[in-house]
Amino acid sequence: MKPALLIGLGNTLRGDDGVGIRVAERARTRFPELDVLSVHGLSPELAETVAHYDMLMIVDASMVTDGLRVTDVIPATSGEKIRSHAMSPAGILGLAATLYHRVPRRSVLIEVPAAECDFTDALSPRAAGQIDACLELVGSYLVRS
Amino acid sequence: MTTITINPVTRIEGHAKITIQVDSKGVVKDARFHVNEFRGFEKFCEGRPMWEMGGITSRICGICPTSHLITSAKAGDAILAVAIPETAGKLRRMITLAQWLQSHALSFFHLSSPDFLLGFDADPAKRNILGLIAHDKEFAKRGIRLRKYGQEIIEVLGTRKIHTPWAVAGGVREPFDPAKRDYLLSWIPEARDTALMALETIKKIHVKFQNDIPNYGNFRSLYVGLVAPDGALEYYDGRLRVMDGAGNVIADKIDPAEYHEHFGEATEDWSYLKFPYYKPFGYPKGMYRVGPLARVNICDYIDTPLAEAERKQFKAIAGEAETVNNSFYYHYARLIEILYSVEKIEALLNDPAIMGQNIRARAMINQRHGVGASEAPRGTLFHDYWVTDDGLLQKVNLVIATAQNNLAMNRTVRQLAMQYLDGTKLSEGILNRIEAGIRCFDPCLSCSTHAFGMMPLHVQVIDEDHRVLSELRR
Repeated sequence: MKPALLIGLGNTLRGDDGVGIRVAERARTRFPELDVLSVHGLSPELAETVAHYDMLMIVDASMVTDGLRVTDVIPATSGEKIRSHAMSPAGILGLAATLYHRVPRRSVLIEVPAAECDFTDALSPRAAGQIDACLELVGSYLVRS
Repeated sequence: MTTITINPVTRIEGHAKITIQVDSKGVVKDARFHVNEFRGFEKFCEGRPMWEMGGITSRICGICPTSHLITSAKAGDAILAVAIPETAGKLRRMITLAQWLQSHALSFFHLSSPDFLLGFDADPAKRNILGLIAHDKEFAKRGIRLRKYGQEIIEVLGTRKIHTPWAVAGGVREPFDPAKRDYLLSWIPEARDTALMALETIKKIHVKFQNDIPNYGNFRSLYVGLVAPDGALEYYDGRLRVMDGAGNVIADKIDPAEYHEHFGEATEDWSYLKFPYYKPFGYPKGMYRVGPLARVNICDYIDTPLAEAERKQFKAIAGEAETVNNSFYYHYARLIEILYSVEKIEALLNDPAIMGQNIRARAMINQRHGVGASEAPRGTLFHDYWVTDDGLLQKVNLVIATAQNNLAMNRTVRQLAMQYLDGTKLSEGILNRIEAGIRCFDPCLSCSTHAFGMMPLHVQVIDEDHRVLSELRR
């Protein structure tokens, strides 16, 4: 198993929707030991990738949280959480467990508060102001793993 | 009049809803496929340097970014007024086929197969990719591997899977890494086997659903797509051909740069998606279909042996008619294109020309206007740019494949609603059949934002006074 993977989710041309990608870009240089992927959405083939890691962090924008929010992700066992064009983190883990019989020992979804997802390549102060704290959080998980 | 709303349609890209209008006796009067989210990319691009367009437009969509990238680069070629090097052209062709491969694999194996293999009336909690795995694990796994192969090619060529800025006006940025050729070739036998297996599966599906299939968008329309100069299936270059539902070629060898002279874009106040039509027939009579069904219909032949053999079987479906007019056969055509892509990628990987180092023609702005066109997985894609002498974009028009199928998708929804809906009695099976009609086209809407959170399927039955009579969520 490889140590840790961070997946940044989003679209950098849709304002705060791209904050996950921004975190991933910063994490790539700050944590050389961390494998990093930047993706537009979670698609089924990522199941094979995540199955090889001990620790998984998924960073995404969220319109429904006021601060950084961390949720442990449990592999889905029901199809309710899986829609193929935009799979959920639990769905990806569910696929990994079912198809490859391996999932990371721990998987977390880190949600970064988003204010605007309009057509712009700039982040709002709300989202931009959370990037450093998010990176600190990522670092703390790496130390623990 | 009662309105039934299905909102949003699931397992397609983006957000849409369907409304079905029935009278007091429960007879379907009309049905519409609405797109709710506004696409603002065209305005977003204005004022930016033309050179940035590849990186920008490839972010329109997470499913077919490469198609936008390639088409944007071709519009850039036209503005520079250059003929790109042979190597660059072949590498662009390979990445276009890889895009077809990964997009078509997602559409067939993971979006549509749960309906086919588990049944339209299956429990929706099971009629999805996990249910598919429980039903046939190997099938689901092979679909994932096929999609991954397409992604691998895109990553090798473009240095990353999505939003790659690799293709540029005049060519491509990086040559092909010869060390990767054997690796990519090593996938070919498995990819070919998977394509052939899927084709065998779709033929069993045709038998299994022989009573349903005649209701899935079965009507004559025009078909539009690129074909090679000799009439072969084309995906990157070529000229536009228009064929009618009886198999007659009614226009041919249209320069894609003159698309606006032949095709108009109507709007309706109930949808953000435009309604393109063939101008000589007017709106809405000029309804046409693009994408796999159109491409396999309009070409004279396919220049790879296995796909050509399948094309002949496909054409035999039409019987005496020369055109396959049933939208359900989009799936079959899609699989033929997967097989074609595998054969063609193998040929390109074995072509010494892809190893060339001359990959980019450089020039200043030589034209103030340029059009790029290519065949995206869902159909013909146009990028039309107007620039200043300094290359700043003054106007951008993107004609996307999904919009070109808009009239036909609406007609398909109406046909399915009329066939399956009995009064206002909704069932999962009816809803899913109507959604499956839309999924034949594999529409890709404005899937450009991904803030966490997912909209559930929401169905409402509303009376003349807009009172909600019943509601269904899943």
